[in-house]
Amino acid sequence: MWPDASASGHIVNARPNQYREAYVVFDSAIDQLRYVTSVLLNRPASPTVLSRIARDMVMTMDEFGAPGEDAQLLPGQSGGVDPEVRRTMTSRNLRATARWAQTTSYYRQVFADTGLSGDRFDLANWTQIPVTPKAALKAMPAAFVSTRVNPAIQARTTGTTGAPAVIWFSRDEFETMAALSTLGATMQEELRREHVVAFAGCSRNTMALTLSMESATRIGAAFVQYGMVEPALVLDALANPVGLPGKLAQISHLICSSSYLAALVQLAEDEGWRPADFGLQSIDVGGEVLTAALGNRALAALGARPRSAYLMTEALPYGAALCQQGHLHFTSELAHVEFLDPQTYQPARPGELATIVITPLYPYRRCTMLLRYVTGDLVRLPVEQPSCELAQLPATSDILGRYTGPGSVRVLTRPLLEALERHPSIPLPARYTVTGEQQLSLHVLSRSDAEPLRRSILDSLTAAGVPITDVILHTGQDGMPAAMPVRADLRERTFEGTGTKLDLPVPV
Amino acid sequence: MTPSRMALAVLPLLVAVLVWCAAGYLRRYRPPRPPIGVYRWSDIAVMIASVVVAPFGYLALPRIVVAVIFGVVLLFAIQLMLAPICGGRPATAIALVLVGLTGVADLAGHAMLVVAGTDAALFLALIGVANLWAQSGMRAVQVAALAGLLAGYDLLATGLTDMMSRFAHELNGLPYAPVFALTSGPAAVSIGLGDLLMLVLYPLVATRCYGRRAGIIAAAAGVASVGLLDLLFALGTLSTAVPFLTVLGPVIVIQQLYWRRRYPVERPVVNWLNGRDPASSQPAGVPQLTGPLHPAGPINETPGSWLAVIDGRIVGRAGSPGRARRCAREAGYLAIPVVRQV
Repeated sequence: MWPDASASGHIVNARPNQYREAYVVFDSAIDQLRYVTSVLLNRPASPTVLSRIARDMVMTMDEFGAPGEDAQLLPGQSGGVDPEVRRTMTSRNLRATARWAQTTSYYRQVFADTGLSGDRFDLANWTQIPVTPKAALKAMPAAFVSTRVNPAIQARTTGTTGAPAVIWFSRDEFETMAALSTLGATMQEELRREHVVAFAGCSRNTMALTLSMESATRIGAAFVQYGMVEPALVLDALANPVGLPGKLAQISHLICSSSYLAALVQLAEDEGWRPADFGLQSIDVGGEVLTAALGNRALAALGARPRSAYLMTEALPYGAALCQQGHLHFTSELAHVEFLDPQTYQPARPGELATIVITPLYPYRRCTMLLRYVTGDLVRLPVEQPSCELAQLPATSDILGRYTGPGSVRVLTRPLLEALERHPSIPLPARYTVTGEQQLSLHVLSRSDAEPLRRSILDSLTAAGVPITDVILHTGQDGMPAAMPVRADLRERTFEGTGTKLDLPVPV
Repeated sequence: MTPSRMALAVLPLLVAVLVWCAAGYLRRYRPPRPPIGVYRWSDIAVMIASVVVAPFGYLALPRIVVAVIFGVVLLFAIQLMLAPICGGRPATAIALVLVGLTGVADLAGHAMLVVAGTDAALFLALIGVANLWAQSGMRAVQVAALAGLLAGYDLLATGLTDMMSRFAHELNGLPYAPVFALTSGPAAVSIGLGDLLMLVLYPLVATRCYGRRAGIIAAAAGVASVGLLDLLFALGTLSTAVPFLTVLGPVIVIQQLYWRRRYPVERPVVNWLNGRDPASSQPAGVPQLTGPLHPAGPINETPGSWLAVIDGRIVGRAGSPGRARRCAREAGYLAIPVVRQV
C-alpha cells in the first residue's frame, strides 16, 4: 500500500495545532519579521521587503493554491485585531501622521491658524483638527506635498464633479502600493498566472492603470490595456480568443467603471451576445455606484457578476472591502476613517447618513498628506452590529451617493439607479437629472415614454424612499435637462475599427 | 567484533516500516504551514551550513547542554507530528512524556531504555519533519541537491578529518542523540539521523512531485541501500563506520536525474492535493498551426475579414475576431476556436 496521488479524500486535520511550527522558510520569515518590526516601530516599511512578501505570496499560491494559516494578518489584509491594541496603534499612527503633516505648507498653516501643534495629537483629540474639504486640495494641491519627500507620480481624479483633484505620490509609495495591490489581487481577487486581465478604464487614471498592471504582471497574469474606447471594440475583444500559451483561452478579468460596464451590458443585450461568447470570470468596477440591478444584467449578458470595493485616489493605498452581506468594512492599518454628518461634521449616529472622512496614515503616506479629508461619499451607519464574516471591522452600508449640497441627501444615487437600471427600456448607462425644489421631478432618457414604464419607475422610487413626485421620460436628449456626466463619457479614440478614415476633430 | 547479524537484518526492515509510516502520514495528515513561504535555494544553503557548523558547536558544549538541546528539538518535532492526529495539547503531553521518560531513564542509568526511548522519539520526529518539509513545498530537486552536497561533505568530513568520529564518540550513550541505534557498544548497529531523514524525505517528495511510482522506487532504493550495506557488514567485508550518505546521495541524485528528464516540471502541492497527474503540470507543447493557417476548403472571404478555425475547419466568419468566435458558437461549436485574419 502506497499513498496515492490524491489524498484529498482522506485528509484529517483533527484539531488546529496551538503551537506555530518553527520550521518556516528562512527568507520569508526574515522579511515578515522586518515588516512587523517596521509596523511596531511605525517606520516606513521597505518597499523591497513588501515586494518580496508579495512575491512570496504569489509563489505560495502557485505551489499550494491557498495561503497558510493566519494569512489575514498579512500586510493590508482584513485581519482581526484586539480592539484595545487597535486603539493604541491608531493613536500612535495618528500622532505620527499629524507630526509629518507639519512638513506640508497647508497643514503648517492650519496648525498655526488654529494654535494647534501637530506633535500632540492622538485618537482622543483628533477631532480638534479641522476637516480638509475637497475644494482645498483642488485649489492648491502642491500645498499638501511634504517638503521631505521627492514627489514622483501625479495622479488626478476623473473630475466628473468639476476640476480634478491632484495627488502626488513618491516612488517608494508607488512600490508599496504595488506590493499591497499584488497581495490583494492574489488573496481576495484570486488572480493567477493563467488569467488575462483587461483594463477598460480611463487611460488617465494613472494609479488604477499602473497598479492593475503591476499586480497582474507580478502574479504572472497577462495584462491588456484597452482604455475607454468604443464599447463595441472592447466587447469584441472580450470574445476574441487570446491564444496565448499557458493562459486561459479568453480574457478572464475585466476592470472598468460602472457606467462603462453599463454601456457594455447594453450593447451586449442589443446585439444578442451571450455569456458563452466570453470567458469572463471576474469584473471589477470602481469609481461609481454599482447597483444590484446592473450586476444581475451583467451576469446575464457577460457571464460574470461584477464586484466593487471602495477605493479612491486621494486615500490610496487605503481601500474598504464589501462583505457578503453588502456592508463596507474599514480596516485601520492604512488609514483612520470617520463617519461624520455631511453638514455638521459631527460623528454620525447609528442609522444616520454620514460622509466618509479619511486620514491616510503615515508611514504609508508621506508625500501628499491629508488629515480628515472629506471624501463626500455618503454611507449609512448600521443600526445593529453586523454578523457577517468581517464583523470585527467597522461597517457601513455600501456607497449611497455623493454629497454636493443639502439637496443631495434627499435623492441618493444608489436607490435611484437601482430603480432605473432594472428596466430594459432605460438605456444604459442611465441618463437622468433631478429638477425642482420642493416637488422633485426625475427626467430620464428612455426608449419608451409609455405610461406603464413611467408608473413602474415612480413606484420603484417610492418603494425605495426616494422623494421623487414625478417621472418624465424623454425618448431623445432634445428637451431633456442636461444629465450628469458619467465616466463612460470619457471616451477615448482609436484607429481600430474605423475602416478607411478617422473622423478628425474640426480645427478651431 | 562483528555487529549482531540479527540487528543487521532488522535495521532495513525498521527503515522500511519508518518510510511506510511516513507515507501513510503523507496520505492522511496535513501539518500546519505559515501564511506564505516556499522553499528557495537560499533555504537549502542555510540548511547545509547548519549541518556543517552544528557539530563544531556541539563538540564545544558540555554533554548535558547538547542533550538538552537535542531533547527540546525532539520535543517540538514530536509535538508537530502528533498535533494533526490528536490535537495540540494531547500531542504536547505525549511528547513531554516520551522525552521526559527517556531523560529519567538516563538519570537512572538504564542504558537500554535510553536507547529505546531515543529511537521511539526519533521515529516519530522523522515522520513529522519529513512530512513537514515534503508538504510545505520542498522540491525534489532541492532534496536531491541536499543529498548530493551532504554526501560530498560526509565523505570529506569522515575521510579527511576526525571530527565525525569525535562527534560520534561524544554522542555515545547520550539521551536524544541523533542516532537510531539497535545495539550499543563497540560494534553498534545504528544509522544517523541525517541519513534516516534522507531515506524518508526523498520518497515523500518524489511521491508528491512525480507520483506514486517514483515514491515507491525511491523507498525501495533507499531500503535496498541500507540492506546492501548491512549485508556487507554481516559478511565482514565492511568493518568500520560508513558515511551512509556517500551511498544514498548518488542513489537519490540518479533517481532525480531520471525523473527530471521525464517530468521537467515538478508537480506543485496544489496539483498533488487535487489528484492531478504529474504529466498535467508539464508545459504544453508548441501548438500546431497547420489547421488555422491552411484550413480545409477554399477561403473566399474578403481580405481583412476573420475566420474561426477548429481542427482545420472553418467554423465561423465575420468582420471582427470576436464576432467570428461568436459565429462559431452560434453554429454550435462551443470549443474555443483559433481566430485568424484573412
